[in-house]
Amino acid sequence: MKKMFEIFLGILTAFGGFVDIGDLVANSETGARFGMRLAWVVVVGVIGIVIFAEMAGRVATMSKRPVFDIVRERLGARWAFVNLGASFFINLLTVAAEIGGLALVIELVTGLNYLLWVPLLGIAVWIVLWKLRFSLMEKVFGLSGLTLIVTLFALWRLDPGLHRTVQTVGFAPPASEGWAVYAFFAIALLGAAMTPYEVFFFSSGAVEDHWTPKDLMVNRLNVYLGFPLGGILSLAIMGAAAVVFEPHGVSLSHLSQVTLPVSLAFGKIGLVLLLYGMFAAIFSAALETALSAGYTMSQFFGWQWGTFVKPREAARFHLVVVGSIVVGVLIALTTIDPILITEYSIVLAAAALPLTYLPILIVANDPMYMKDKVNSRPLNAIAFVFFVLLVIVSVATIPLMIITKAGA
Amino acid sequence: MRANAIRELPGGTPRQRRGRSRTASGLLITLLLVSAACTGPARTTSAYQSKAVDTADEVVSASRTVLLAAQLGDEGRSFAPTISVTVADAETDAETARDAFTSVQPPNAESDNLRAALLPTVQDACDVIGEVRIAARRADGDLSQVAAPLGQLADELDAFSTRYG
Repeated sequence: MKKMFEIFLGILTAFGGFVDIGDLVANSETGARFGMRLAWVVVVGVIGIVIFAEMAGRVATMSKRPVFDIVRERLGARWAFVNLGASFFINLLTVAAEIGGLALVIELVTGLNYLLWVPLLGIAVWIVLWKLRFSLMEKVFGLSGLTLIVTLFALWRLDPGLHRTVQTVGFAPPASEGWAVYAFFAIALLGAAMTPYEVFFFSSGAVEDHWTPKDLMVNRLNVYLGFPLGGILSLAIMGAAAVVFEPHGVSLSHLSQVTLPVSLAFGKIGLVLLLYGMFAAIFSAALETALSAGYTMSQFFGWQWGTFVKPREAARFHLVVVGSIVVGVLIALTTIDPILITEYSIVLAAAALPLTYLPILIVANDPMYMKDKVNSRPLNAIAFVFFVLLVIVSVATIPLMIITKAGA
Repeated sequence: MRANAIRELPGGTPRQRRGRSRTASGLLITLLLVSAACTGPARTTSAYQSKAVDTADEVVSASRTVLLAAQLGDEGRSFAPTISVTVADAETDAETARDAFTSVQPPNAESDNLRAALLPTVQDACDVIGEVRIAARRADGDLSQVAAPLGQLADELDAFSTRYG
């Protein structure tokens, strides 16, 4: 019974923790601009992150080594360093985006400029990382993020039966948009769903929690059930924007606009739940990205890392974590719009995915590391198709960003 | 002797050449990324028309956001700070679009006419959004009445966008 409860809790935590500022921005923007014509990308992205996270968790469990340790071994020091540089830079942008996103939520509640809140939130993120046990912070913020389910109910309230929502489902851009912009936003959605920091965090957690092969089933349940449920939330956010904004030619560029559909459906009560859920989900993501910065750097250089040892034993790890929060705060304080930072971070994350995905895919097939837990043939087939897709996305990202002026 | 010969190679050592190559690549990538954010000039009528349509679309979006926010505020479906921030954000969008368009040099007389057709409506919309922002921050109530002209203005801009888009 206790085990079942833990599994249930794990699924809910994965569900509530799936959405971050990237998902909120990307899904709302695409819903307002394209209706549900890019909903298929969310489905593809969720399948991708399920495969990626499950493989990474399994690799970490069987090899007892985290992602970047294996990336360095498989790619060689030079390419692994390129991988580290790209991943770390994108991670820093994501930290800035998450802290900026938190500040925007507080601004919506207080009316005070978000810049005032940025330093305070940076300190809050650090205090929580320093003081709270890892499992507690994961559960508190992950479960609190479940209140975002209000968007699903709001969508139903605004469009009972989802008739209008379903009418905009498609696989091509509307007449008013071109294929280049459509493809660019598809990449943004993919990057929002398949966030690399999630995988670094997930696999490091597997090592920190000393997962054994017996835990692999729990890992699979959390990932196979929790992430798709999170994907449903992403689709609800997209659908709500599609129903409220797309018919009126409203494009989304602010977090304030993301709150309007839920206010329209449920008024202040719905808005409170939404803002609380947004704060919790983004705070959870800020914690994860800050930790991921420490994990990637420490694992590459072979430093002691983790929250399971005393801080003085992992001083460099904690220094990198604090440093990433400080840099994130400084980036946010440059007054560059946090939404713009978010857009760039998710697009660049999509471009950098193959660098981390390939080593994991290779090791997941290596019996020397995995023993009898190598990828099955069907899984390998799907995983390879995803690798090809990610390479195409990676090659297309920068040209599309320039051609479309980052989706303008 | 051999080590000295390597240091004196024209163009530098292989390591120096790789370093310069990496620096050049980094600068090129930075320039390309920055160029994605730049607004270029409009040298032809169609390019200017495209910018005009984009401006109209932006202001339509801001106007209808404000109309919705005003409705929610009056119905008590949102909090005053949230409405205030939403309207302020929309005002920023509208004014940014207006300023970006007014800074573009019309390439010919036909574009002058386009500018003359668009700008007054855009300015009116910006003015009304500003008034809604002031009323929202004062929590004056009846935001919908203040925002009402935006409905007509947004429809006019929509028609402009459809005609020239």
